[in-house]
Parts: sequence; structure tokens; C-alpha cells
Amino acid sequence: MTGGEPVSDEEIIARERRRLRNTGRIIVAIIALAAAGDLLLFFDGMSGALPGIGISAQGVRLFLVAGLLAAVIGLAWVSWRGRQAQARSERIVRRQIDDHQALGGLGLAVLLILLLEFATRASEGARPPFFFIALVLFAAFTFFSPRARRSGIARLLDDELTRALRGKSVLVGYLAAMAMLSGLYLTIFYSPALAMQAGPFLLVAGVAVPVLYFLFLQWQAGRGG
Amino acid sequence: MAERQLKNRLKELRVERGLTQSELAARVGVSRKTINTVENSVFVPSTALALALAEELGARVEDIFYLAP
Repeated sequence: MTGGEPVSDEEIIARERRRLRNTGRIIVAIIALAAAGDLLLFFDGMSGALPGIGISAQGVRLFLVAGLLAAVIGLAWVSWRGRQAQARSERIVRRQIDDHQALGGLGLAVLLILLLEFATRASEGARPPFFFIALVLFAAFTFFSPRARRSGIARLLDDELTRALRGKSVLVGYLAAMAMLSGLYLTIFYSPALAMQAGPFLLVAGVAVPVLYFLFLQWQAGRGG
Repeated sequence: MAERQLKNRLKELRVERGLTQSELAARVGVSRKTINTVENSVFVPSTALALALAEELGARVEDIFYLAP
């Protein structure tokens, strides 16, 4: 045996669990990063202190976007490394479906938090990052779902309950977006300026509502038993 | 005709065989949540999953699933 390679299923699962836990830590760090940036912007709004400590609000925003990009690249790398390791055995992944799904849910939750955070600032020049996050979240929820990767492992992680829940959530998102769109259409006649402001919230209805509902349904499905 | 509800004895049969939800889920290749929702009659499984569950539990599909009167 070379390089301390695990030999039994139990050892492989324990090592994979550590890897998943580390990925979870990265995700929590992203939340902390976003919260720290928020606090900086908040205190700047309260007292205009940022220029005093040599950081501009624009700099903080760039820092947030750079952090987000780094996080996306980091997560993609971790996910790629993970798939290399998993590819050795479907048997192992079968015993870790819940762990992988929980991590996926955490990732979606982070993107959702970032989206909602930027949605509240969409009128303050934060539109480009907002739309970027909205697109990433939309893609993560639909096109980059395990099903779309079409591998045996992905099929395992995207079992029929997950697909059913996603379908239900997409329907709710569609209804929410249509309701918002109807409201927006009426608003255009009375207050075009207000309609422009409401644009980001239309995206939130179409993207965030299904993700939020999906996370709720997944949590509900795991209760009891 | 009034719609009849699909019920099941999955939990009973699983416990009889000394399996946890996670163990049964791993054997048929679904998540524990799927087994949990099937047992609670929240989710109706596909025919393929029903057959896989029956095979794994050594029972017939109609021994596990039935229509409530």
C-alpha cells in the first residue's frame, strides 16, 4: 500500500466525509465574508468611516465580487476533485447521498443569501453583481443539477424524490414570477420609474422563490423517520 | 369513481428485516429522504423504485403497496 490510500469502504467514506465537511467550512466562510462586507458597508452608511480607514465603498464592493468569484472557482475545484475521487465506486456514493445533497442545499442557500443581499441594493449601483449572482443561482438550480451531468454518480445523487421536488419548486417559481410580472405590467402605466426599480424583485421571484421552496421541501422530506 | 389512496407497509417490512432507512436507501440507490417520504405516504414512488424496494425486501410489490378502501 502506498501514500496512505484508504483500503476499506469505511475508510473511504470517512475520508470523503472529511472532504465534504471542509467544503461546508468553505461555504460558511463565504457567508462570513459576505456578512463582513455588509457590516463594512453598513457602518460606512452610518458614519462615512470607510474613507477614514483607507477603504472606499466601491473597494468593498469589488472585494465582495472578487470573493464571490474566488468562492465559485474554489467550489468548482473542490467539486471536480470530489468527482474524481467518487468515480471509483458507485457503492461509496450510495452511502453518502444525504451528505452530498445537504452540501448542495448549503451551496444553494449561500447563493440565495447573496442574491437577496444584492437585490436590496440593486438601486445603489450593485446591478452587475446582482444579475451575475441571479444567473449563477438559476444555472446552479437548473442546468448544473446533478441530473444535467449525466453520469452514473450524478443519477444517484439526483434521485426521483429530488427531481419531483425540483419540478414542484419550478412550478411555484413560475407562478410567483407571473404574479410579479402582472403587477409590474400594471405599475408601468402608473409609475414607470417605480417599475424600473421593481425589476430585480421580478428576478428574485423567478429565481429565489423556487430555490427557497425547494430547500424547504427537502428539509420537510427529511423530517421524522 | 372516487380516487383511492395509495398506502404502504414499507416501514413494517423494513423494520422486520432489521434495516434502517439509510441502509435500505443505499441498497436501492436513493436518498434516505425518499424512503422517509414513501413510508409516510407523502411521495408515490415510480414503478421502477417500487420493484427495486420489493426485490430488496424479498416481497411482492402488492405486499408493500395497497389501495386504501
